[in-house]
Amino acid sequence: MWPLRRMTGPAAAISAILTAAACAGNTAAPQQKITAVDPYPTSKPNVTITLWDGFSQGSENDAFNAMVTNFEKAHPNIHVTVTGNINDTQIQQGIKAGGSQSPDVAVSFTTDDVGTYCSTGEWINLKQDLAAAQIDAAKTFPAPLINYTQYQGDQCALPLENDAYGLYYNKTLFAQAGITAPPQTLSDLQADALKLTVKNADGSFKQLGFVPSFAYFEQVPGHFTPTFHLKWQTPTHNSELASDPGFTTMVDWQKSFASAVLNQAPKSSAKQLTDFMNKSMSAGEFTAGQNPFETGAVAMALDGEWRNANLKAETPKLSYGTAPFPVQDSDAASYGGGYLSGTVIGISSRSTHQDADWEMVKYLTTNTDSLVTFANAIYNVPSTFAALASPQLTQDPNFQTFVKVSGDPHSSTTPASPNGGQYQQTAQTWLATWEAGQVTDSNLSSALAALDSQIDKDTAAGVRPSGS
Amino acid sequence: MATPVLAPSGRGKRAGLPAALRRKRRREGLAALGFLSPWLLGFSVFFAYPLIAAVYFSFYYYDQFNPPVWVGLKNWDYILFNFPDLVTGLKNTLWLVVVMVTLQIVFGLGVSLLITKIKRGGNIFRTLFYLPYLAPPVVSTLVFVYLFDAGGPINSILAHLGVHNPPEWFNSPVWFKPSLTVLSLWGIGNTVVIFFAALLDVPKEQLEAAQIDGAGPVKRFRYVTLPSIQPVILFSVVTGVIYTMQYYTQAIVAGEVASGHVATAGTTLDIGYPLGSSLTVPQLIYEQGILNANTGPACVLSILLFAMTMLFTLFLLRRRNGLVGTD
Amino acid sequence: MAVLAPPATPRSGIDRAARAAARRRRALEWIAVNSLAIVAALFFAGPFFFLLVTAVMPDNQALSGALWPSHWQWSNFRDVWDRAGFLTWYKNTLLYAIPVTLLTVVSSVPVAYALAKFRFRFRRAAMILLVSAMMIPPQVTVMPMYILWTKQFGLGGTLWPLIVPTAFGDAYSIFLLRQFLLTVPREYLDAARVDGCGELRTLLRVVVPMIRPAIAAVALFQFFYAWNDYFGPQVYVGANPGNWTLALGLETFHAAHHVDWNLMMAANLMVIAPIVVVFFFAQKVFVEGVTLTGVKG
Repeated sequence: MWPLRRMTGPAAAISAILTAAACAGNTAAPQQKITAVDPYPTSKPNVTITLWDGFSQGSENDAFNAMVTNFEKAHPNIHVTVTGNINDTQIQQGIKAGGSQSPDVAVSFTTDDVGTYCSTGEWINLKQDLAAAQIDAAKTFPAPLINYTQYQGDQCALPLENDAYGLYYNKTLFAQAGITAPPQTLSDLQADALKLTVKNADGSFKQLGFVPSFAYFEQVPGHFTPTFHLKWQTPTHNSELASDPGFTTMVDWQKSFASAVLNQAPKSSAKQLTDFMNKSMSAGEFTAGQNPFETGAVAMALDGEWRNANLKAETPKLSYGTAPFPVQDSDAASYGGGYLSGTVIGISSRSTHQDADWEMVKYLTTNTDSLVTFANAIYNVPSTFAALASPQLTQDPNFQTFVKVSGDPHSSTTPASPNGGQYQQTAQTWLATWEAGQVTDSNLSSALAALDSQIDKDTAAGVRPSGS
Repeated sequence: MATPVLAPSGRGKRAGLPAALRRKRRREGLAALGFLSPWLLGFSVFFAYPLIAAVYFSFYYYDQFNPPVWVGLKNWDYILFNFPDLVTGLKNTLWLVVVMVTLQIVFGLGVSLLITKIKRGGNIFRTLFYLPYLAPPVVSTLVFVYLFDAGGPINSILAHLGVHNPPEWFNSPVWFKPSLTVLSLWGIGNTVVIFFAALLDVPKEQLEAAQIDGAGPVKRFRYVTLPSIQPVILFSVVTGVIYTMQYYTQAIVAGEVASGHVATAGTTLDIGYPLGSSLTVPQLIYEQGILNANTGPACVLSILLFAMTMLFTLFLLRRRNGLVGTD
Repeated sequence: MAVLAPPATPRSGIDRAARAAARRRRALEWIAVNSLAIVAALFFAGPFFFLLVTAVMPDNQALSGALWPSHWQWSNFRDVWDRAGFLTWYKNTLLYAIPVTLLTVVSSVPVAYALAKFRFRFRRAAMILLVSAMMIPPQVTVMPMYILWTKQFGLGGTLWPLIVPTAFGDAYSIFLLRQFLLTVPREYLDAARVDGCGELRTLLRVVVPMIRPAIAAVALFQFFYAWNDYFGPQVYVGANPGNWTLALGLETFHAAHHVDWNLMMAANLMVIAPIVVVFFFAQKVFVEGVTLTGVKG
C-alpha cells in the first residue's frame, strides 16, 4: 500500500511551502488526486451515520449542518444524524458504551485527546483509507496538522479546520492610551497593559489592559507553549516541568506581571483583581456581547481566530485589531508564531459501517469548497493547502493574521499524551495554587518536581500498563 | 445465596414448641421467603454483586474498552499513597461534618422550636420552610450560585448595606463550603419535621412541673426537652454524617457553574473548583471511573466510601430501638 | 396583630403585679418569637423571591445587581420552552419518574409486609441488609453496575439501568412501609387469615387498603427522587443528550446556549413548579412520611 505515498520532504521545506501557500495565496497549491476508490458508492444500500460534534453556537451549528447536507446531496444513500454540543467525555463514554446510542463519527475540539483516541483504539487508523483513496496526507494537510491528528504513527484523526492563537487588542482603548501599534515583546505587552489599566480610587479595577492569569478564558498554560517554548514532557511522556526553564520563566512572568498591575497606583489587593475577574467573567466566555473583551473591560487578550466570528456578529461596532502574540524580549526572532490546534474528526471503531463513515470524513476534511465555506462562516483557518490557497477565503486582515500565524515556522502545539490533555489540566490546577500565593519562589522547584511526579503517577494509573 | 438464610428454622432447636405453632411458624417462614425473594434477588444483583466486583476491578487496569489487565496492588497504592485529591476530599468531608452537620442540627432544632411557639400563620410558615427541601438539588444550587454571584443579588444587597468588599463566595476556596452550608440550611425542612414531631412528644406534665418549680425557659429546655429528644438528635447526627460523606450534587454543580467551565464542548469538567475546596469522595469516583474511564482507582475509592458509610451505619444498627427494632 | 392574652380581671394588688409581670414576659416572648419567625421566613422565602423576579427580568438585567425587573418579560418562559431540548428533557424525566414510582410501590409493599408482620429466623439479618442498602450511596456500586449495564446489556445511554432495579424493591420505600406496618395491629391480619384468606389475598385485601397513606408517601417520595435525581442520569445518559432529564439539561443550559441568568431562572421555575403544586395538595402525606422514618429520602 505504501508506494502510493511519496517521501515526505524535510520539515523546513514543508514550512516554506506552507508559509508560501498561506501568505501569498498565489502559489499554486499542490493538487490532491481525484479519489481512486469510492469507499461507499451510491449503489450500496442506505445507511444512517450518527455524528456527534462539539459546535454549540447557532451560527456554527448552521454552517456545519449545511456542510453535512451538501454531503448528503452528493451521496443520497447516506443519511447523517447530527448532534451538536457534545464534549470529549461524552464522545469517549458513548464509544466505550457502544450500542445503538453510540456515535459512528465524532468531531472533537480537544486536540490533546487525539493521543487517547489513538492509543485506546477508540478511533480507527485512517492511514490505509487515505492510501486507498490516493490522498497524500503530506501534500494535502500542513505538517503541524498531520502531527496533531496522529499518535505514534497512528493517524486516527484528520483535521477539520485549524485554530491559531494570537493577540486581540481594542483599537479604541489603544488610541485613548496613545498606543499606536500592538506590542511585540512581553515587556511591551506589560507596559501597554499598565497604560490600559484603569483603577478606582480604592484600588479596585475598572478596566484591565491584560488579565495576568491562567484562569482567564483562553489564556490556559497550553496556549503559551510557543511563547515560552514549553516542552511539557520528554519523548517518553514523562512530565518535565521542573527541568523546563520555559515553564519557570512563564510562571515568574505571570507573577511579576500581576504584581506590576497590583502595585500601579493606587495600589490594589490581590482580592480586588480576582473580584474584577470573577465579575467580568461571570457571564461566561460565549454569552453574546458579555465577554470582557467585547464589553471593553479588558483591552488585550490571547484568543483564538474563531473569536473574530463572535466579535463580528455580537459587537459589530467594536474597533479591534489582531496580531501575533508577543514573544520574550530575548527571543524577538520568533515573533509571528502562535499556538496551533484544531478541530479533529475520527471514526469510531465500534461503527458497523466504517466505509460510509470514511466517505463522509473524506468529504468533510478534503472538499475544498466545503472547507472554505465553513472556514469563512466560523472564521477558522482552513486545514488543507487547497483551501488555504482559495481566493474565496475571507480577506479580512483581522482574520488573515491567523492564517499567517498558522503558517509560521515558529508556531507550535502541545505534545500528544496517551492520557490526553490531563497533564495540562493538572498543570493548570497547580497554576491556580501558584496564583493564589500558595507556592512561592523559594519552594517553586520542589513544588514543580512534586507536580511532575504527580502527573507521571496519574498517567501511570490512567493508561494501559506497557507490555500488555 | 439467600435461600438457606431464610429457610424456616431447623427442627432440633424448636422441638419444644407445640406442633401446631411449629407448623404455623413454618408456613410463615415460607410465605416470608416468597414475599422477600424478589428483593433478595435484587439485593444480590444490585448490591452484593457490585461490592464483590468492585474488589475484583480494584486489582485491574480497565479502560472500559480493551480487556482488563491484572495490576496487583497498583491501584491501591496509587489511591492511598499517591493521590492527593483523596486527602483533599476527606479534609473537605471532615469540615462539612464538623461545621455543616452541627449547624444543621442547631438550626433545625431552632426552627422547630420556633414552630411550636407560633400561634398564627403557622401553616404558611410550615409550608415555606419545607418547600426548599423538596426543590431539586440542581435547581437550588443554581439559584444559590446566582444569588452569591459577584454581580448577584446578595452582593447587591450587601452594597446597599454598606459592605463594598464582600467575599467571593462560590469563587473563593475559603468561602465555598460556608456558602454550601447556607444552601444546606435552606433545605433543612426534613430535619425540622423530625425534630418538630419529637418536640410534640415531650411530656407536657414534666414541662409544667418544671415551670411550677420555677424553672425558666432555658432550664426547662436544658433539663426536660433536651433529654427527651436526645435520641432523635443523635439519630439525626449519625444520618447527617452519613449523608455528608456522600455529598455530591450540590458540590459538583456549584463548583462547575461557578467556575464558568460548565461541560461545554471542548472543555473539561473542573471538579473541585475552586482549588479543590469542593472535592468530595463521590465526585472523585465519578471523575476517575466515569469521566476518565479509570475503573481500578475508582473501585478503590468506592470500597473506601463503602467502609466509611458502614462504619456509621453500624452505629444505627447496634442501637437498641434503632432502625432494625421490631416495635 | 391581635393581643394574645384576654384581658384579666384584677383581684388583689400582689396578684395584679404578678400578672402584669407575666403579661410583660408573654409580650416580650411574643415579640421575640415573631421577629425570629419573620427573619426565618425571609431566609426561606428569599431565594424563591429572587428565582421568581429574575425569571421575568429582561435580558442582561440579571447580574446587573438589579433586585426588581425593569419590566416583566413573560416571554422568557416561552423562550425556554422553545429551546431545543427542553420538551425532550421534560418527557424523559416523566419516562424515568413514572415507571420508577409504579415499580417501587408494586415491588416494595410485599417485602415490607413480610419484614413487619412475619416471624422467621434471620429477620434481623434481613433488616440489617435493608438498612445497609438504604445507607449505601449509589457511588459505591456505580462502577461495576455501569460496566454491567453498558458492556453486558448494551443499555448505556438509556434510562433503563435506573428503572429496572426498582422492580426489585427500593430499600428506603420498604423501610418506610415497614415502619407504618408496625403500627397496624397483628390481630387484624390474624382475623383475615382465620377467615381463610391466603397470604397474598390478605396482603391485597387487608394490608394494602390499610396502609394507603404510607403507599401514597412512598409513591410521592420516589417520584420526587427520580424527578430530582442528578447522579443516576449523569452517569447513564450524560453522554447521550437525546435521553437527558431536566436535572442534566438545566445545568448545561447555562453553557449550552450561552443564555443569561433570567432564562436559566425561568427554566428552574418550570422544573420546580410541578413539585410545588404536588406539595400543596399532598403536604400531609409528606410530613407523615418523614416523621415515620426519621430519615430523609
